[in-house]
Amino acid sequence: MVSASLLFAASSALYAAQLVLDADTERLQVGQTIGLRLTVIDAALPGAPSWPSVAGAKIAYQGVQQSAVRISGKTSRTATYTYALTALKEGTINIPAMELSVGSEALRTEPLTLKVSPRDTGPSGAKAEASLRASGEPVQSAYVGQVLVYTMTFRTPEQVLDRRFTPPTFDGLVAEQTRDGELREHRTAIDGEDWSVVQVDLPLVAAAPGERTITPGVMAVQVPELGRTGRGPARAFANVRNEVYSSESLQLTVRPLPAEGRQDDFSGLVGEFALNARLLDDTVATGDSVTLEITLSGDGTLAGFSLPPVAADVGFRAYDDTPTVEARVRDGRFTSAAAFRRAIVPERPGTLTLPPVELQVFNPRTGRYELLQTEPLTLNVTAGEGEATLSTFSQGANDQRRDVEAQADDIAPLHPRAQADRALFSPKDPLVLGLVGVPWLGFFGLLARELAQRVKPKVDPRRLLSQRLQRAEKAELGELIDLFREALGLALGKPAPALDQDALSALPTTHRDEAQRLYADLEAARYGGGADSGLRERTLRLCRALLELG
Amino acid sequence: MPLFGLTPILLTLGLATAGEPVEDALAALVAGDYAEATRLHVAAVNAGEVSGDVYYNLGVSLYREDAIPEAILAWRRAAVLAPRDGDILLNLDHARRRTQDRVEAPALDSWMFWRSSFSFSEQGWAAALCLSALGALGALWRLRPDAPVGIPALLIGVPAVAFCVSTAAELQALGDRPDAVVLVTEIPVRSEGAGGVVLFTLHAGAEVNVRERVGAQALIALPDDRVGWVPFDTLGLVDPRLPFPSPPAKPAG
Repeated sequence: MVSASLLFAASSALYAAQLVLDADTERLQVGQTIGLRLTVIDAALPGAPSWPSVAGAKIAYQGVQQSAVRISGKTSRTATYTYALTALKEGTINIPAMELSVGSEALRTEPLTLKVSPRDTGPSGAKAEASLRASGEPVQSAYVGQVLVYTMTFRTPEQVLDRRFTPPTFDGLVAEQTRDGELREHRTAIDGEDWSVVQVDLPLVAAAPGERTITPGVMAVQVPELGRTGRGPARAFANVRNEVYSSESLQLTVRPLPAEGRQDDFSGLVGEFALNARLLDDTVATGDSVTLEITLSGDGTLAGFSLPPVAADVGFRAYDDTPTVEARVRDGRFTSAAAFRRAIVPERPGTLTLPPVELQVFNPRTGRYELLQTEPLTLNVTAGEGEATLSTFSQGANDQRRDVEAQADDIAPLHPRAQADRALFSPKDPLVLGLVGVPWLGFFGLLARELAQRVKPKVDPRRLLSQRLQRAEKAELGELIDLFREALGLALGKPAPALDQDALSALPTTHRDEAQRLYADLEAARYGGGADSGLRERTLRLCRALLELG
Repeated sequence: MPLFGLTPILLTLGLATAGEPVEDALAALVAGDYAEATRLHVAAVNAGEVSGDVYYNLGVSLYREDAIPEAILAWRRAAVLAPRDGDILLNLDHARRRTQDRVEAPALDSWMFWRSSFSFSEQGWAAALCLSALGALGALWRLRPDAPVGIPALLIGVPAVAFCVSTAAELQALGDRPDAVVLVTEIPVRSEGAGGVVLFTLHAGAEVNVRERVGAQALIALPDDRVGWVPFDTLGLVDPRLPFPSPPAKPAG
């Protein structure tokens, strides 16, 4: 808040030492204490200035804060002296201009007027109030193009931990282009009790005539929950309470600008304005340039405004620089200032009288059109090198075009290529099921096939031996020995390679002797000369008998 | 129009079409016959011919007929199907200003940030396509174990999971706890079904969330968590798959 006003002051001070007086608010109640700041820019004071007696107020010094602000490559040093101002009675507090001598320079503040209203006699609780203001005063009617400030003030005796402002719907009003709204929060004392104040200022421009209703603004705040603050470290976990306050709705009548008295070259500016011009040098050589500085300030919007062009064949050429526009809003008061720098290039030596700059503006306070005019300025033009080569030329007729004005507001147009979309997603859609299911079925199918290939079939050895016996009618000796050992192994419950002749003693007596004989004969045949048909039959018969033992 | 709408692709696939009812409704709307345009649009929607644009144009014709709550319902349904369409949000804002209750719709607060950019249908189809591609990659992996499918599977798998989860959340929100618009001029919201005390009163165009439905009564909630019961038939559900409620008859003359 301080830095914003300081920046405004510093940028307009053209880097000269300056004193700025600033208050938290320009409206207060009896018994309310606000902050009053005296800012010294690019100068040093020996100590805190003391205030003369101010009727209806008590002023007490509180402290000083120093800082540096860098603007356009130049550093400005500031010292801000803070005072506490308490309103003592209803009415107006006039703080006179303060004049201080710094070295050889005399610095002076602007006088400041504060309005003191009686104490609010309503409930002592929190309250949100809204108003539309023009030049700081509440209004219920305005002209098209006039700047109004929507102000909402919220006061509460509790500490505000967090706050969120929801602006109303501004029917028939649009946001001012050069300045955003401002939300300020400060503490104030009323009868010794601390109050939190949140104030919102939104600059708006009346856009269309008619009866307008501004809906309530809403302020949502977070305050500490009373009675549950805890002790010691528990205070850090104290509960908070969310509360929402709304202001009342506002009615506004927006009137069109009157046609009577309006010139064809009406500037479009609505507000109280002041126009000044000065030459930065009073002598210039022909063909050289001198800067004409034109300042336009007032309480109307200057967004998009440009100076009227210079007529052709007036003895000089003019080149406009991009203007700088600065605006501020505070306590329902909107002010803006534009600085235009125009390079003047005289075309012939002698005395050149610059014609005055004229602007017709509409003053909503008087309800009439007014003509702003600068003083004629005289320039001494000496002969220069460029004299012989200069020639006058015209830029043609003035631009007669105007911005296209909006006549109404409506919804967005229809969509001419509307098509029904039959592909609304549904998980049960057969297309979805197929799209997802087919690849995954393929994946799991391939996986299942692989697993099946990896698993070895589990075969019953008795069944396998039985099948081998059925195919062994012409078995050779080696096959017969193998069948005999497999059958013995199954009968004895032992692996075939581990069997020897001694193991045969465990066979039942019905098969033991035949088995021992066959074992010996097979061994003999193995080393003696092969199997005959009798040995094959005996072997197969015994094998079948052993298989039946289970 | 959606930036990445699936409509052109689906048109190519033969899954979308510019049916006659929609064309007739559009012609009536362009001709300024808003009653006929509304009737044809509702007929098209109830016949399943839905899209963000169709609901949008239905909202325009309803707005022209001064049926503000129905227009809000149509544009809310349009926003479900075409969440990136700025015209829908603009018109919704326009229509909401003409309602009586200031009910601020809460912003979608979810870690699934893409939900506000894609319709449930787009999310669903994206999930299906990703899952399909993931299955195809799996099959390729079994056929050719040496194929480099790891990184593609990861790149497809992450969005597949994300879109599956968000689609489920969208369908659950549409089916179980849908948003709704009050369609009658004024409705008292009670503490217990048809009985109880009147907690607060809502007016036409107010947007609420339906928490439960028991018989002919619905438990609704406002964004500030105030809840109460209203007759279910006073609400229009913001589910574009449902039939559109019949707009009020315009008085003769």
